[in-house]
Amino acid sequence: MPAFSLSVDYQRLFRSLPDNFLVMAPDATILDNTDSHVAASLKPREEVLGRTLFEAYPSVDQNQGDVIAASHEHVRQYLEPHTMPLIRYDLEVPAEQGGGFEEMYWQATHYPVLGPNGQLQYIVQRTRNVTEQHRTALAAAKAQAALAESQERTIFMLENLPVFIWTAQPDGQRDYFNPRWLAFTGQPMAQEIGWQWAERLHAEDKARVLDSWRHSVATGDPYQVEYRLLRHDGQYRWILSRATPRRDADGRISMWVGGATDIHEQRQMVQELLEANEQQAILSEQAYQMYQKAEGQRETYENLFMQAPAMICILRGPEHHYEFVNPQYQLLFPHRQLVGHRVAEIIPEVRAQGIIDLLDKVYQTGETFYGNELKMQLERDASGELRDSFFNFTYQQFREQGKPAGIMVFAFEVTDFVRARQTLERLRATGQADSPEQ
Amino acid sequence: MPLTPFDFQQARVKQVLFKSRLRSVLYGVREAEPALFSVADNPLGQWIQTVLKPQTGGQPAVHELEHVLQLMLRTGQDLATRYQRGHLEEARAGLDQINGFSDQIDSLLLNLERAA
Repeated sequence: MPAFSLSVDYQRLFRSLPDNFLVMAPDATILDNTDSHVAASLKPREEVLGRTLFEAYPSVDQNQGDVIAASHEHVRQYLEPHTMPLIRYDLEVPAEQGGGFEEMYWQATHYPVLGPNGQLQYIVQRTRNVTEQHRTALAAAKAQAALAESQERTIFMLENLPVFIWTAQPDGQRDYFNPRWLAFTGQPMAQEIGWQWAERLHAEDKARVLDSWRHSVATGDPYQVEYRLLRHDGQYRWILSRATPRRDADGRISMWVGGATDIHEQRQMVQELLEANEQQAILSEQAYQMYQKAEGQRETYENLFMQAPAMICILRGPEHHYEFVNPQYQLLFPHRQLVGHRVAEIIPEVRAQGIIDLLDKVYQTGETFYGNELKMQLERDASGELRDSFFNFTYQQFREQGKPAGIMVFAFEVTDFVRARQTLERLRATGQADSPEQ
Repeated sequence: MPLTPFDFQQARVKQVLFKSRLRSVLYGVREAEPALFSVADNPLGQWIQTVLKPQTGGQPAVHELEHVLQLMLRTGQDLATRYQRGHLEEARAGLDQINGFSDQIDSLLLNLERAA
């Protein structure tokens, strides 16, 4: 054996081992440690040698110190290695590095080293700083919890949103329907997945809907379609269904998510509204035609009345308001504005002559009054003087909607004729008296 | 015969009818007929030609009314095309534009009615 092998500097070798080793006497007095341990423990070797572990590296709390002491006790008692549970053992940061404690996690194992007679000679502590791993594990657990929470939220939303939701595989097979869909169709999930859902489409819609879905699956185009879907009670309801593909990092479709809403009422409302509007347009057109016709007739009659060689007026209502007066009639009273006024108010002189009573009677009974050479005393100019005037006329009730509405007056003045006759009669009477025997 | 409120009421009924017909196309209740979007066949368009123009001929508001009606019909046709291509939601969202034109038409009719 070569001589150099005998001159190994074991202490140097020990201190250079690439791991954290600490050698203690059975009573935990520190005898030596590796350079790695010095570096990890943030404490110079000369400050710890000869002191117990607990003095050299004070615990932040009693519990952790107890865990270490218990591990030592295990080794002393059973002379076998003992791995401590992961512990938090914060190390004192030297004042020049800022002081205080640094939060650290350790995985430590205590190994017994026995003397020649089997007695415990040393306790070797091998400590691995697992702060990083521990932090990573903690972060992973937190992320996992967040993921689980996020998944639960998603599931909660899928199951409780007031819409139908489904998903499909890239080949178009449906693989999920939310409870709202299942409640609508009254089918269990097993009866809907794949292509089975299409069995509940209305016969007239099925081919169109499936074509559209196959097209979207083949091209990745968003899916948007309306159709009638059979509800659990046997009624078909109009549904608007839409879906969007989800793509992976390579742009390949990894799944489809679809949503659908019941638009039956909405659609029915649109239809009813259209029908109502069409009816309204027809009615409105009819009313308009009738209005135009009535307006045309009214104009014709008004023209006829205006041009008629007779006196015509229309008195409306039980108080006989002048509503229409033709020029011939107006000539009777050139100084009075008749339209809009009551007869009794604008021609007060006729009241005492019984004319208003006559009008009232015609209005009430509907019996036409025929006046024949009837004498009235009228103020025919602004002189204040009443003149005898004779008329042939009719007062004729007219009715609207089955009720008396007014009186139409149609008159010819016969004053000149009556006077001529009266003169003639007088002359005759006189002539007869003058020459009785001619 | 001079225009009366009755005439303008007719025009309003006709324009509501167009909106209702377009809506029913976009909700799949009716098929779109080409006549729906033709100014010559549109009831309001016909009203403008046969009732409004003979009375109010060269007024700028009448030209504007014709212009807005054309825009409304063209937009309506675009929406119907979108619907036929399967873009149901987009087509229906476009009804907002139609309402905008329809409001403009209402206000032009009101001005013309006040002036009549």
